[in-house]
Amino acid sequence: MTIFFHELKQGKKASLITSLSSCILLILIMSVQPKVQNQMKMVEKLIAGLGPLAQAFAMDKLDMGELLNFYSLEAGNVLLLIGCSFSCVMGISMLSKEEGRHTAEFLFPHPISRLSVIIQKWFALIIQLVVFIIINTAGTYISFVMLNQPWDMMLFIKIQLSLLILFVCVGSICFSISAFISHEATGVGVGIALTLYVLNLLINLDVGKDIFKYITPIYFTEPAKIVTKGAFDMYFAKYYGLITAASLLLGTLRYATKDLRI
Amino acid sequence: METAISTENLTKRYGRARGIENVSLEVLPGQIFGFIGPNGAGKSTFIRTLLGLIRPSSGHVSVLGNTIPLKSRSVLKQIGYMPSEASYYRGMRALDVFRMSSRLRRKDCERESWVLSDRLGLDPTRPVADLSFGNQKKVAIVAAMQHKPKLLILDEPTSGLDPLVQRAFWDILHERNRQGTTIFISSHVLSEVQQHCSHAAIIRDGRILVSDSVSRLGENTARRITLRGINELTQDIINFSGVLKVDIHSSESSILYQGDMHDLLARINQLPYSDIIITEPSLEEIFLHVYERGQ
Repeated sequence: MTIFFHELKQGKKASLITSLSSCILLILIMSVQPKVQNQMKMVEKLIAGLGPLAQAFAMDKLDMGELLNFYSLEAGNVLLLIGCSFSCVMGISMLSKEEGRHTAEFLFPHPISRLSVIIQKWFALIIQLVVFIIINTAGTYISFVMLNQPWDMMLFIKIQLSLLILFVCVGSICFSISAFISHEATGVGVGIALTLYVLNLLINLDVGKDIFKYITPIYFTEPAKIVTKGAFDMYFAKYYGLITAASLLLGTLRYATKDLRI
Repeated sequence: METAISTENLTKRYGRARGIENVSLEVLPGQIFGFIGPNGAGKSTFIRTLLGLIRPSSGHVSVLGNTIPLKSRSVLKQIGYMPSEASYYRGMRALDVFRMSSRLRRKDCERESWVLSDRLGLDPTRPVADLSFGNQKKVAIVAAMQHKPKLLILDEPTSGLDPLVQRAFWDILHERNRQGTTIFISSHVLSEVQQHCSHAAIIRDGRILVSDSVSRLGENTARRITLRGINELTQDIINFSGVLKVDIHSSESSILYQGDMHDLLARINQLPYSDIIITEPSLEEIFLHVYERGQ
């Protein structure tokens, strides 16, 4: 468990700063909700004027006056983007940073198998993602309580769970990619997150939906879709679960046998 | 007798680039083995293959009786490795490095890390990032030795260490060697290999040129002949078969020669030298001689 705790310690600062910043941003966004609620006619006009943009962000499907609808379209969307980027950036560096920072020559001459390193690092990544979603969920919950409006607790939990599934999925895929590279690739991580996000916007605009829905897991975890459907699509949950498992297997096979670049 | 390190036709290629080529080497338990070669000769590639950090393209590697990389984990328990330029995790103190290393080895090495730090003059409570290159080297030395391994693999350990620390370092190494530790040490500094190692191998362009006991390497038939009082040599001496190198200075001339001494002396005796000194060449000269000739 040495590597696991070491990773948590090393990533503690970055994780907490990202989680708390994101949490404060969500609370700020949610604090606008009563004003939006009071000016719904104007907001509806504004949304109607946005045209395809409203469609891309699924604003045309939900009534922003409702607390959870507002959350899923605004704060939830921001949380999705920040969390997705955070997961990708954390995942993409998890294995490769040992080579990128030349610490592999310290770590791997110790009697520890590469498989063990992979497992411990992956669990450390997952724990950091769980902590991220817990902090943001707590912040959002507090803002909901303060807004004192009716909302569906179960649906909220489903939204947050679907976001966690998304983060674990993209974080794990990036973690696997990390096994194939030998340097820190924060830019690649951000690039992957933004690409997945943009692909989902295109899906919402009915552009390339039949292909892109198999590329971006945001398709089935987007908060607005969870609110609209009341649950996430199990077919895609299984599909992306399989993709994640396959990528982890590939990453493990690669990392266990690769020549470490020092 | 079981070898500490044994390689047979070990080859590592990086695509088209050469790493090491058909390296066959044996290091016996209890030896202090020097591994000499210029930069890019393949020393680090060889060491990293021993540790299982990289996989051989072909050939066989056995460390402490275990095949690498199949049984790397059980072997690594008994190995202490010091890289030539170690990097550590951000924000760690030297003490944290030692503790992490101990935990990874599941062995309490706290006391030994303090003893070694004290002997090398290292303050382990300081952050590694704040330490000088020499002190970072000390961190690497302590981390490699604190668990008292059976086999120590040290890559350029003394570069960056001041002479006093180097002395303390060699004292510790010899103590460990007396206690049964086998030491494999790569170095550029031939004089320290000559002084401290029992056996040595020379690697060039990924191939082992020679591997023998240091005393036998010193018994090379080459000799350095220094002639005082003359600052020129005749062409028949310079071009004489077996003359490897000629150095002419203002008050003396010297010849590095390998061959029948009588033949050369017959020619030298015709020169008006005031004094003649015949010595065994240093390991450095042997190395350069072998290296230049590519034998």
